[in-house]
Amino acid sequence: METDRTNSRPESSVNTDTISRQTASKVGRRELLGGAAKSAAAGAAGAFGIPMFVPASALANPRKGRIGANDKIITGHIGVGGMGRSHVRPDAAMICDVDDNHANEVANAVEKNPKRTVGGRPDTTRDFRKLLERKDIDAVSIGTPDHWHAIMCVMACQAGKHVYTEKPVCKTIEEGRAMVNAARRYNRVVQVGMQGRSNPDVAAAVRYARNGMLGKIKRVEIWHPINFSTTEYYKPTEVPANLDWDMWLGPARWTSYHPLKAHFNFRWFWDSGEGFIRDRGNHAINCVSWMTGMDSYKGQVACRATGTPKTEGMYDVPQTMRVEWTFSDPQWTLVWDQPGKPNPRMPGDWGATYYGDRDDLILHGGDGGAKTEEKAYQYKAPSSGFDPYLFPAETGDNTERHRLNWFDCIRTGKRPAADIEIGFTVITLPIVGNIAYRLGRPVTYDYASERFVNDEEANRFLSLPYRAPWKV
Amino acid sequence: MNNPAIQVIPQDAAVSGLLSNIEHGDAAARSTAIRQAALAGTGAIGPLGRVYGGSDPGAAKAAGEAINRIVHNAARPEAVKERGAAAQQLVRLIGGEQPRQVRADALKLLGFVGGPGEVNAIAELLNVPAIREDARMALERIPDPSAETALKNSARTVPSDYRAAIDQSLRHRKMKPREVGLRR
Repeated sequence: METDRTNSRPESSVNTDTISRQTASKVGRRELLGGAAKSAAAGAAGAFGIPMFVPASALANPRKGRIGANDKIITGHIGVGGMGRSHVRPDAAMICDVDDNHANEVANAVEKNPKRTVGGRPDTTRDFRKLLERKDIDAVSIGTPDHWHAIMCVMACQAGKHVYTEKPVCKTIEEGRAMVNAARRYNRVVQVGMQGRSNPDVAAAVRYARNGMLGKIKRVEIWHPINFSTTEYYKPTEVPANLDWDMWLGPARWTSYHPLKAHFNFRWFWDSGEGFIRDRGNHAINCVSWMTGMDSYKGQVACRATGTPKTEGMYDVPQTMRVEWTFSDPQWTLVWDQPGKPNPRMPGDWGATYYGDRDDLILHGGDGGAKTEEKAYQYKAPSSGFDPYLFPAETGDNTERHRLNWFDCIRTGKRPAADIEIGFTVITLPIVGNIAYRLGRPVTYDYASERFVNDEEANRFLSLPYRAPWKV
Repeated sequence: MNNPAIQVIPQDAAVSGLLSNIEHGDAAARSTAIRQAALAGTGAIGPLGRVYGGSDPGAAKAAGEAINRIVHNAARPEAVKERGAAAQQLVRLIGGEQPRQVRADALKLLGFVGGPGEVNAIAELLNVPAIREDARMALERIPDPSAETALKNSARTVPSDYRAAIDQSLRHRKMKPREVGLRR
């Protein structure tokens, strides 16, 4: 826990009434479709003071509401200080970040990008709702800290935008369900930034495991370095002029600003990131889910967790952590071990060993970078065997392959490689693990009912009250 | 930094030992004390709250961790009386004499373990601007119908610009899982 003792501004100062409903939203579908040519539509948009983009969705077949195969997809980008920066496209229409420095750096770079085919610098804003109001934007990426993902994703779907959201998708079970509901209700393509699903090295391991070369998988052990620590404690610090701290917090309960809370280090607080288990742990467990075929698991999982509490500094997630999940049908065990021991056969910074009753296999990493053992690379699956889907793209960048898969699905209406429902299933395990750690007792979670079994307090962790006015 | 009024509360040996390690121990002693804090029982919450609100940041951090351990242990499924005792101890930490962070964190824990016996004390804070959001979030989480009643009643007393927040909590309490994420 922090030792912030100030009484400054515990409530959100955001007022929904202050958000203009009059600007870009005036340029609706009808105006953009009015006239025969794109140029006319672009002229109308320009008259309202917005960049001259024509949303691909406005030019698509209105009966299907789908973007045409050759139409440009206009993007907006929310949260561009970290991984979100890599998602920014050359023709981005708007950049949103609560840190002006981030937004301006990215907007300036986009303006100078030789691949940019539209004129001018993308607009910038601190308030993502202004971006969502823009009718010329078809799709958005979300690269904010975790506590914002669900609200932004749901609101984007409601605004008709397709979404690429960074992992982990949600902080609670309720948020994950809300994201899946919104994606389905509003028929939006929601790709999760679990780019392991677009990584040929991971796919090689999946091919090996899913075609029975390991036999029945009985145990998977993930090893990973410990969480970050600091010896620094909270002290009153002025919020930099370039940062909207109230908007950075958004739905999270009030805490006073300190540079160690934002930006990267949000990972080490319960109220925002909740540790490596939800960060690279999300990537590792994504691979586990693909390898074991557990994406649609609806059974129960028992979980116990231990760790070393932090005894100094501001961060509040544990220093070390060991979580064990035991699945019931089929019966097998998954272990998250921080620091754990790298497998000596193929040591590496982080990874997992998959133990089957016939063989075992090591997979390092599991995000954009991964490496597995030679036997998996050499393995040829039978023609009738399981062939993991990889979006065909001429790129050596697996994260770009993942983005291109998203764009393709927006055009075709297919489900993306890391659909939101998979992202929700995957992050459920770290959520359950962290709850078991915080409660200090084993818990059993039921995927079918999305509730804990016989533990009222654990069930109170299923949702997270938000600061007003935020909601999902 | 120490509040003499709280110091006179009788403490058994387990609580004294825990406090000693939390206040004066090195990192290893504090770590062990945190992990074993639940053994001291809910009676340690008040004294730990004093340390948590104190000026030694290392001791405060350890005390906060220990409070969490005790409270969550007390709320295990089979321990109804202990949960109530923990909640009552937490209510003592939400008063105006406590630093804001102590109050906010106690309210967060009350959201997890609080019941009808704590609702009124929490609801009173809905009229205290510095802490009312934490109080509202705690009430939103307490499933007992008395929490909903308290929120409804507060709509008559809170300033008009805060009623939307109260309504948000009431709406959320009524929401079913299949409804989340859909336009409201």
